Amino acid sequence: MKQSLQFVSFLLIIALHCSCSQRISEESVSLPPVLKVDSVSQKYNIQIDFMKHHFSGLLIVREMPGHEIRILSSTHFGMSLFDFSLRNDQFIINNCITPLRKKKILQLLETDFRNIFLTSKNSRRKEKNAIFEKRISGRGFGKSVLYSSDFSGETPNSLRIKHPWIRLTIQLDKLSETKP
Amino acid sequence: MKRLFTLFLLVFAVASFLQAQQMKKLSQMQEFNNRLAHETQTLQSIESDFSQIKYVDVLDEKVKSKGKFYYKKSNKIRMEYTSPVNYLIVINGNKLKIVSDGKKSIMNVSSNKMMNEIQDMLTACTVGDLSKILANYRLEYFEDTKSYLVNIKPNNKVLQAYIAEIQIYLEKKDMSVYKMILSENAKNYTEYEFYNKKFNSLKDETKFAIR
Repeated sequence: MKQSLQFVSFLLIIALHCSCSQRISEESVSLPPVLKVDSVSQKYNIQIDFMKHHFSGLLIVREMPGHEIRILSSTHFGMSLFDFSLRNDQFIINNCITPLRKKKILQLLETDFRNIFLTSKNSRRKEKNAIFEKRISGRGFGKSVLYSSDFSGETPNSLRIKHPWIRLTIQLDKLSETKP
Repeated sequence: MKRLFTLFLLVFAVASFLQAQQMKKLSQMQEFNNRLAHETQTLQSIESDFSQIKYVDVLDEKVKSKGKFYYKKSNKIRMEYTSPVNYLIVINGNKLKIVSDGKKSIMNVSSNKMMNEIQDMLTACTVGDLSKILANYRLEYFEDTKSYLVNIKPNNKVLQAYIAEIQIYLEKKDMSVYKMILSENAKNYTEYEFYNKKFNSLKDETKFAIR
């Protein structure tokens, strides 16, 4: 009797675990892009905080013919920083200043931009309501936490990606249409 | 055939008109140098508004910004962006301060050769004091009835990766810079225009404080 009770308990735990896992795996499969890109350019103020250093500039994103997502960034003074293209599995560096041409930096930016602008297969949604969404992607040193807020309909106007292990935060704030 | 001839005439007329509008090579170099030296010597400060347009060729997109520009002799520059975001650049001697999103970064540019060159170039181009950059840049001079144009190309290979050419336009009436075009390559450039200029009236040193 005692053995059968233990067996039933074990089965219950397994069943519960499976049901929970099912829910998480449903959440982790193909999340829609955080920001939907179309043929009209969207402009963002991009802030990058790495340890004690802070940088800010401009980010422009637009969908080009052939489902290519073009991502360009410059300083506020006008100097170009990078020009990338995302197309399905391809990540093309059209232009990039020398200090940023480092394999690890480019990989990190590629992963972040994929998680933001493309359907994400590796992210898990942790929280979502009308004003806030939290997603987690990657594990260990590659873990990133993505917070979206200030929604206009389905689209967030503010986005923050935290890489907790490397003390790096990237924030995008949409520049309003009324401002040039 | 008649239409083709009319079109040819029209194209020829437009081309001739544009040719006439183009600036010609500066002939009175000595006069230009004397005037520029005199004006930069008497210039103590500038306050002006500025507009900035960055042209992105691949997107055929123009990104507009604007703000306030301040200069005080010598080597003190403040560019205060008010749109589309608040952003501040202050250069005072060897120090550079950037304030963005309420966060401040201060750098010493004297230890960085390239930053030093950019600082000299920025002073030269926004104020019109070309004396500091003669050694490191190739300069070409043009003029029309109202303005001078100075084309500046860096000799430094590292700098050439960022700046292909700078064009500065000076008003003949007071030798002040009213436009600057910074070209990164043949297709991408940023244009700055300075207007509502006030000379030698800026007293406030705190605008250039770096701390």
